[in-house]
Amino acid sequence: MRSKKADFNFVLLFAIVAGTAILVLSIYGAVRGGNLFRTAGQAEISASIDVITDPLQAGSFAAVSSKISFRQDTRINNRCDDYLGFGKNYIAVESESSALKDSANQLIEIPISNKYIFSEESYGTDFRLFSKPFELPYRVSDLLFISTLNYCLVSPPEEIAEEIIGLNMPNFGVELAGNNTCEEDSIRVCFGYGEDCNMTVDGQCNDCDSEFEYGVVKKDGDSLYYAGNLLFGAIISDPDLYECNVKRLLFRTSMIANVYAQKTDLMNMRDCNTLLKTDLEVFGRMTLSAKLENLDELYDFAKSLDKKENRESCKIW
Amino acid sequence: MVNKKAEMKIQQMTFMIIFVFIFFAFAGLFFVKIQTGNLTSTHDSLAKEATISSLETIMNMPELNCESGKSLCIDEDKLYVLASISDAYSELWPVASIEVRKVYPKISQEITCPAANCTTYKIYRSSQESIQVYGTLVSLCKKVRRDGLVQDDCTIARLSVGVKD
Repeated sequence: MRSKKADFNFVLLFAIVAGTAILVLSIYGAVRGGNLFRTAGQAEISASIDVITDPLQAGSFAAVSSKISFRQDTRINNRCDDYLGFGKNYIAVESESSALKDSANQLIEIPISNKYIFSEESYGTDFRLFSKPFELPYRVSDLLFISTLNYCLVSPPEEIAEEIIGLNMPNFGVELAGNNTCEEDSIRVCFGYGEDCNMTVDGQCNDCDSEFEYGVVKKDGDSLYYAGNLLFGAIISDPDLYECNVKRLLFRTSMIANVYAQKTDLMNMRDCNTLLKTDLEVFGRMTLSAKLENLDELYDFAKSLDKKENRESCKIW
Repeated sequence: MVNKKAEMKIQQMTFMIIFVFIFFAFAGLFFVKIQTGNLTSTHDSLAKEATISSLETIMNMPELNCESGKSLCIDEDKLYVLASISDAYSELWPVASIEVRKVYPKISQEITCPAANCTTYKIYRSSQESIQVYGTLVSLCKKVRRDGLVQDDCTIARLSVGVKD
């Protein structure tokens, strides 16, 4: 009788231990599997961003806009690396819930080498995208801007105001005398002077149609120099990301100058003579060694190069 | 007798637990197999989509396209230059290979560029072993001066790009 009770206890004990082990293993497997598939899903979205932003390359258009929506609050992590010149943007998508659950969440980054993506580090469900060409003076690439926060451009120059209104970007408002399309919680970007500004744009171009063709964006104690459409990158991105993307762009500008310089030799052989080779070689060297502060000089040099090219009968770009 | 019955019970229980464990393990493996299969096919289709959309991206790249951003047009002079400095650009291309082959007027002998009267520009090929290729027809143009007038001299070519793994 005593032996039977002991046997019964052993059977029960064995069942409990084995059952618990299976249960624990199953739960562990399910959690690990869930994390794995969630990470895979996020990587898939990151890769999709590369594909769906291809049509946003403005090409011959002045600007193109679009929108990405997520079901839950999500952040688009954008890391930039200017290693080896052309550099890369590394895109990873992270939902807020997964970031809260696991602070050491392993993100799978998708490297993108032929795009220049400017974005902010914030969570949101709706991300607005727009692209604008970067020309110095020839087209170098398209700049891609991704943002979820609201911005209010206070007293912008007419052409920027018209373009923003034309692009129909709900997160970019314009405040002009007698016209205000800004949301209440917007980040206020003042052109020149304004009240309650979160950042200011200081135009420094004297011989231009608009003084804001190049200048400096001042925000959070940082001064970000810009030229042309880089203005939007300076407004949206954090300083490190902005500087890295500008370095990548200048490297590519220099490489294209080299291609154009060699192209002039081939054109000369077919009686399509041009005198721009030396200027292009000088411009290529200038862009290769330029810093953010030199953008105004590059912009002025590019303008004079463009004027010379316009006088040529055989166009180079 | 009692001991033997208890032993039998333990064996029964053990077999049952092992069977249940194996069943769930197989079910789990089956699930993982299906999910990774989906993941692989998603990866392949994304890579394919990326390459097809890259055809347009590559044609519009300032390193290749005709002046003033004409669509479906590649500048032959730029191709000639790039064919000789393609290594410098290897980090930039979003695809595994880029090749431009003249197809019209009819080509009698294929000559790889850079060379005189060349017909095929091999711009880039990664170290990837097998490459699935997609292509499209484009205009291949260069500027010439004839009778004092600047004109476009164009042929038809096939731009082929390879899917990156």
